[in-house]
Amino acid sequence: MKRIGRIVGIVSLAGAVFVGTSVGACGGETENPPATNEPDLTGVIYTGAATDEALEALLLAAPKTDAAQGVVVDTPAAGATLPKDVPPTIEWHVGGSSAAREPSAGERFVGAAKAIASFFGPREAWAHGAPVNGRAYLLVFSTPKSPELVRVFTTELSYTFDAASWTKLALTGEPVTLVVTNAIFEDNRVAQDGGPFTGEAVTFSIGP
Amino acid sequence: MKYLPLLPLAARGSFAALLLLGAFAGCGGEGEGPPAPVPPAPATWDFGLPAGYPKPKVPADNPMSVDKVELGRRLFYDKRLSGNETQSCASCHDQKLAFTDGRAGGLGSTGEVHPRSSMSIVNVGYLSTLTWANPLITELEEQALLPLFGETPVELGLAGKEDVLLERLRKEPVYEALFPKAFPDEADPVRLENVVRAIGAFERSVISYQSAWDRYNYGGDSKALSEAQKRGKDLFFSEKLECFHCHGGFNFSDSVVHDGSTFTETMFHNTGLYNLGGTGAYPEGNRGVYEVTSVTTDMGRFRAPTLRNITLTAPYMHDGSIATLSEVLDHYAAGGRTIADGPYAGVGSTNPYKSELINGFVLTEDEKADVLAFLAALTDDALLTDPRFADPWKQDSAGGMP
Ligand code: HEC
Ligand code: HEC
Repeated sequence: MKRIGRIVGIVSLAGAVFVGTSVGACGGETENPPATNEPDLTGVIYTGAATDEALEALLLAAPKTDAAQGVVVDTPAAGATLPKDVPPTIEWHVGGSSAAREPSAGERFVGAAKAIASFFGPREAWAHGAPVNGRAYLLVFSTPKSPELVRVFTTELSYTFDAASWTKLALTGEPVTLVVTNAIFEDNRVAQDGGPFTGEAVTFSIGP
Repeated sequence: MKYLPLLPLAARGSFAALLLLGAFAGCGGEGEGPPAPVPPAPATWDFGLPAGYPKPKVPADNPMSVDKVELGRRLFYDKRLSGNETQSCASCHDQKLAFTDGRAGGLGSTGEVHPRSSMSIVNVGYLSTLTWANPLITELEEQALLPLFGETPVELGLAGKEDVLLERLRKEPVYEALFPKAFPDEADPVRLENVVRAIGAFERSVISYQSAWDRYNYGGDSKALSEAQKRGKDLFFSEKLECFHCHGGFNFSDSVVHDGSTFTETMFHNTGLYNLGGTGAYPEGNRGVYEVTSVTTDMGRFRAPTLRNITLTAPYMHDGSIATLSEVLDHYAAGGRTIADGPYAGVGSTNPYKSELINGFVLTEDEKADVLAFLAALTDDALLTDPRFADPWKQDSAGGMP
């Protein structure tokens, strides 16, 4: 007991010194520039464990292009025409991951059942639960006349449209372009070397 | 040579005093006299981590280098580091078990049993405090002194034998070459401070980042997790189970610090594991932060350990008193453990010092299986056989690192 006490005492002394020396400012850390304009988050649909804080951090950071870190969209395929009445499931993976694969035709539009589950509409804000740690993905669906018509922010690797959001896109009658931007987060902040990384755009149509 | 007068002191246990001198001089410019020129940190170390994965915080006075990490690995696996040459650090920190020992209490070189369970050294470079419940131990270099020289309990049993240790090390040809390479600016690098610095550097290199969870969550590989694991993930991160509050972040622990982190979290929690006689007490000698501070509200407060590789590190909790992960979930589901009889009898869920995050919950059998499946996704099999972390002395006799 006495012994432990002494070691602990010494260690605590050492601890105090550490606080003064090694943990202290060794200078040079650059502060993030203060945010000049708040990004607009209205209408964004959140799924998985995505948070608005993380999205704000993503939108404030300058995107990079890095094929290995950018998202590749698996479904829909570029140039595909999707049925208007079936809210589809969008699937993707990170370029450098081993998940690249050919989705089967049957897999492509299995979203209908899941869409029913989201009948009550999308969640438009996230109660402040777990901060995002790891990757999160911003899906931006645009048409020529309506840029950024639907935005989805998620920590998952797929997204199934709810009926309302899908109808919003379908009603435009225009081709839809999807760009997925992802970043790696640590406690809702974009991590060092964590992007954001812009993926390649995919354009598809919605059938009559 | 200014350490010499301190040696008798050191022999009685004041090892940290040694370290305080010079070894941890900080950023320079503080202290007396002209600031020593700060040698540029050799940029010879690459943690080899995936993009966006945090890097461990490296103390300014112990920069990483390939030679230092190799020296540290040699020392970590060297039985000459125990008084009777029967044990090394690896005796209680076995790579196959994610650097734990499978025992409820660590078994020291002289047969003494540690009151607490051995802890994984994986990702220890990210921890803001070390060991189960000591807010004062914050650096790996100081922590290593405890198993080497500690006497309650005796682990490696080197108290009073520093010179014997250094003599043994000087005789080893591998060290004769490696110490000068690892500490190139020193005339006589075979010193205790350098032993613990090298071990610290090796420990910082042992990082787990290749579990199925990492491939999914950092790698963006949608196939890395099974459907059950994904459901378990949602439960783990839910407000119903609350696990993530204490086992959150990339390391599944709330006591982390790393290169570039803006603040340090250090948290200790009472999970209602004991409640001796309804007083809130934990068993004598194992009362958590209370052992250090004697503050009543620190009773039973322990650090939330990482859950990485948790399937390999049974038995669980600070004293190894829970055998399986399924029973750990039962403990949380009940909002604390009830021990019906015996010296430790008590209803943990009514422990007055319990964290308000431990409230109990109901899980169906299927949901429980999903949470267990998720916890299994945190196991990094590559780590268990990674030659960079394996016993180098065995690799020598097998013809070198594969
Ligand atoms: C007798 C078995 C034993 C030996 C030998 C041993 N350890 Fe440990 N180790 C433990 C136990 C038990 C703990 C938990 C201690 C506590 O909470 O008081 C621990 C904790 C640690 C921790 C803290 C991990 C964390 O998550 O905070 C580190 C680091 C560590 N040991 C490194 C070492 C090193 C380096 C050596 C060799 C110099 C070593 N150990 C030798 C049993 C051992
Ligand atoms: C209030 C903070 C807190 C919450 C919430 C919490 N834990 Fe823990 N956890 C701890 C602490 C502290 C310990 C160590 C306690 C001890 O040894 O007495 C621990 C230990 C564990 C262990 C054993 C680790 C080991 O290495 O032995 C597992 C497994 C675990 N927790 C899983 C979970 C799961 C699953 C949940 C959600 C159901 C959860 N925890 C919720 C703080 C927490």
